[in-house]
Amino acid sequence: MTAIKIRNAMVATILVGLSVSNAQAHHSGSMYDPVKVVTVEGVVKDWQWTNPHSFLQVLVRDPNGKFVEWSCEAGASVLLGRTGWERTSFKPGDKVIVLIHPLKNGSNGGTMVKATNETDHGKVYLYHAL
Amino acid sequence: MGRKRERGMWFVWQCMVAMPVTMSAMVGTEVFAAENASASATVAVSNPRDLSGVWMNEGELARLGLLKQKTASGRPAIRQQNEGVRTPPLPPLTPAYMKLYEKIRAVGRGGAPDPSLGRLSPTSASDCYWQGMVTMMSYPFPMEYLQTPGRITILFEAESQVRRIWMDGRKHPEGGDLQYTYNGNSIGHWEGNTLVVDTVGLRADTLMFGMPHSDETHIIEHIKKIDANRLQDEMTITDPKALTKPVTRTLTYDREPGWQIGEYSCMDNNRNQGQTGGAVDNGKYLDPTVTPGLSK
Repeated sequence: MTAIKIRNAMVATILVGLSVSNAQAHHSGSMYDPVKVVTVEGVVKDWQWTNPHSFLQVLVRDPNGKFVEWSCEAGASVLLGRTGWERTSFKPGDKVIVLIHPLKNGSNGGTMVKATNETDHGKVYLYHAL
Repeated sequence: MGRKRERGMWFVWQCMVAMPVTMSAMVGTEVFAAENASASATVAVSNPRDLSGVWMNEGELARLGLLKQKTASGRPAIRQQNEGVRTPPLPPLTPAYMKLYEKIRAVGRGGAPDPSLGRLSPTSASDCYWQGMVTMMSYPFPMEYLQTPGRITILFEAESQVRRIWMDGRKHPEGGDLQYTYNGNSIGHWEGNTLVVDTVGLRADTLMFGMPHSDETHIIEHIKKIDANRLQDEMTITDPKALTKPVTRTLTYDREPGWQIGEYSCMDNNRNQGQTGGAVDNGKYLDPTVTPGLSK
């Protein structure tokens, strides 16, 4: 398996953080830190194409060499399907690089900014969440 | 994308069917400017009383990066839902309701949960409670208008909810016959090419643009097509118990001829309800060939 790692959080002063969208907020967008972006690099455990929100579960090797599961949230499948995402965008085992606004509580999760499926020719998916 | 072509096809369809419908309805035919101003030679003929089709609130289209319409200032339309929670000025609430509103707002601004608010908590949407009128009209999901004799029906993608607007001349039920529901009891009529909808019978345990309201809420909507592909709903909320004066909000929708209404259940994979990682995902985990334990 190729190297899997978490890149350290790169704190960015991103303006989009100033207006937390309601649709996200109504599913607890306030849990996420809108000014931080974390890159999660790993393999897909599961792509949950669901409502009210979809989740990409990614297995990442932590600094101790153990696999940990990250939960990357995106929007409702009914809305994602209208913005270029698909039920079949990811399959278990796909190598992905996911940019997320992390959970404020430090858990392994966040809301997606951008997901790249390296296994599927580097296909890029964008999520306009925050 | 094939969107432009779809719009073009919709236009052709409108030309074929809308005119006879309009003539037979004796309401006159309106000519709207085409969406693309540069194609000034082309005008879309559209029946102004034909509201049928799939519509999406423009603020939400902007959020998804799909909005082509711009506001007068040239910027994408801003979000309209629940703006009362975040945006001053304060709504014209009576003192008792203002107190309640302040409690709701404190939670909405990231304060501690307040169990006394019950379903009036700003988290009620993420907890998957139905939102009712007026939130459904500004929700981040599309809706479909159907027009059949005596009735206009709005089918919402979210929770497959329905608003039935009776156009057959009936009145609101009175006394014990009036049910208090999430979407209320709606009767409508045409004033020119504007659909006027009168709604009562609304449950008091919902928020309207972030505001609490009473069981005496009365909503009048003026719904009209701005052009063939845009719809405007001007809502005026009056409430003798909760409001000191009427509150008016205008929502604008974009026609989405290429969209089909999907199915959205908020309880499918709602992690606020503790379903961490236990996604249903169209039942795949309930398939015993995928999850062997189920067959034992």
